Amino acid sequence: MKGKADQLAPLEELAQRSADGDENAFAEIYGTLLDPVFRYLYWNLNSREDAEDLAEEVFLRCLVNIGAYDQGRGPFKAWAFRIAHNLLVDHQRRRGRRGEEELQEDLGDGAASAPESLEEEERARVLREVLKELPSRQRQVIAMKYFAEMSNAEVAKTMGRSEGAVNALQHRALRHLGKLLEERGWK
Amino acid sequence: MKKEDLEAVAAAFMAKAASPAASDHLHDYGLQRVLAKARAAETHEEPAAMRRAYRNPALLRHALIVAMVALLVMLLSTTGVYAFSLDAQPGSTLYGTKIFFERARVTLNTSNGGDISLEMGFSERRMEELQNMLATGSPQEAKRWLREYRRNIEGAGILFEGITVQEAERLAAPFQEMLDRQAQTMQGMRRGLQSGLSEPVEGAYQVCDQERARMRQRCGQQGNEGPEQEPGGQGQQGQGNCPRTEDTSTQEETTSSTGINLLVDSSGAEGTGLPSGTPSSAPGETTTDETASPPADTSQPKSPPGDESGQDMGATGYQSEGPHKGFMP
Repeated sequence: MKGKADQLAPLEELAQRSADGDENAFAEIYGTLLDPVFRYLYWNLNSREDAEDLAEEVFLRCLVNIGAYDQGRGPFKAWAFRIAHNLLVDHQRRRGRRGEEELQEDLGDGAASAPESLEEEERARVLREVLKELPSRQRQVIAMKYFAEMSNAEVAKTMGRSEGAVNALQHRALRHLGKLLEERGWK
Repeated sequence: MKKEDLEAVAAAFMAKAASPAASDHLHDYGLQRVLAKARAAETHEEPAAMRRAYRNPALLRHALIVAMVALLVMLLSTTGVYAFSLDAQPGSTLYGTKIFFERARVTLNTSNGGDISLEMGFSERRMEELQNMLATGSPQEAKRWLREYRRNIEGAGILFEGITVQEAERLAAPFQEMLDRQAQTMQGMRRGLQSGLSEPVEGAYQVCDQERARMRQRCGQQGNEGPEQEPGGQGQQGQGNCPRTEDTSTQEETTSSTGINLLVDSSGAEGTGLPSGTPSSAPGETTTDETASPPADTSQPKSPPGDESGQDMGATGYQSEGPHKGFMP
């Protein structure tokens, strides 16, 4: 009987089934990773439209190349985010960073926002401003850790660095972010 | 603020910031678009390996590097084998390789004149091999040696039938000179040889001598003994591609590529000297004055019959330009 250690983690198992042609398995992967991938891209690109387009491209690449995924080399999430990271870098290289005017804020269906939502939206607006001022690598770590909800190990695999380096980068990014927020009166 | 405090502020700030999720549209329809595009990519007839290669430039780079390294290794090993085989003697393992490379060079050469030069050079190699066989007393594969020597000499002779006049001018004298030299060498060897080598040497001498006779016929020289010269070059009609010396009416003063004035007085006059005012041409010098008339007499010092001294004039009236001219392999 298989022990827990011998069982594949869900995403890895789904990836294996997808590679065998199971579209439902891929649909589950899509449902699980879409928001984290989208948020990662959104906070780096500062554009909902670009983030959605790129997210779709990420999953297309994942599906087409899923046969190349080797679970021995790392978790599936890290592999998928590696694709997202590469596409993000290519996109930024091609187009350059865009200004604030391209941001399309999602206000839901036009219903009146609650005060908590207004504050959240304001924080989001400030966060977009300060993230622009972070170096690219620091911004990527922040987006992966706090918005894509990835572990240090997964971030390290995605960025091709050691966990220690990612940890150090994360601390530097948070300190930088904190300083920028302090300058704007947020404590 | 302390570093730890700054980090805490940033983390808390982000936790309370609104982080948008993917739109409902992307959730509902994005997957269908992705699946449709993936199916379209699969039906496109492109091998998966090629797709991976296109999407992975590093793979293409690696493949290119491997191919280049393989090519380099092949070139180096071929060059190495060629270099090692140059000293191979008949009977050794690499002798066949040496002959193979010689044939390859002749095949790859694009001109008959070049082929003649190569064959002449290879025949000189055969002579070195023969001397080595005599010195070491090991006549292995002497028959093969003879076969190769025959191929070199007769091959060059046949090629003479198909070259231009200019190439014949350039190659005839060195060719004959080399034949004479080789014949002389083998004549000296014929006596007192051990049984294993006497037959091949005799056979090679016959081949060489026959080719000498053929060259003399081609170039209009009479007789078969040594490099005899007819005064003024008058004699039998030349065959093949050696320049004619009899037809003065159509003769023009030309300067060969070697710089020797080829025009010879067909009347057979010897050493008539030059008309006054005509620049004299020492043997071997170029006469550039094309308007001079009558044509300059480039009569050469005559060699007595049977004189096999080094000054071989050749049947064409050229002065020998020295050994190995034009056929260094």
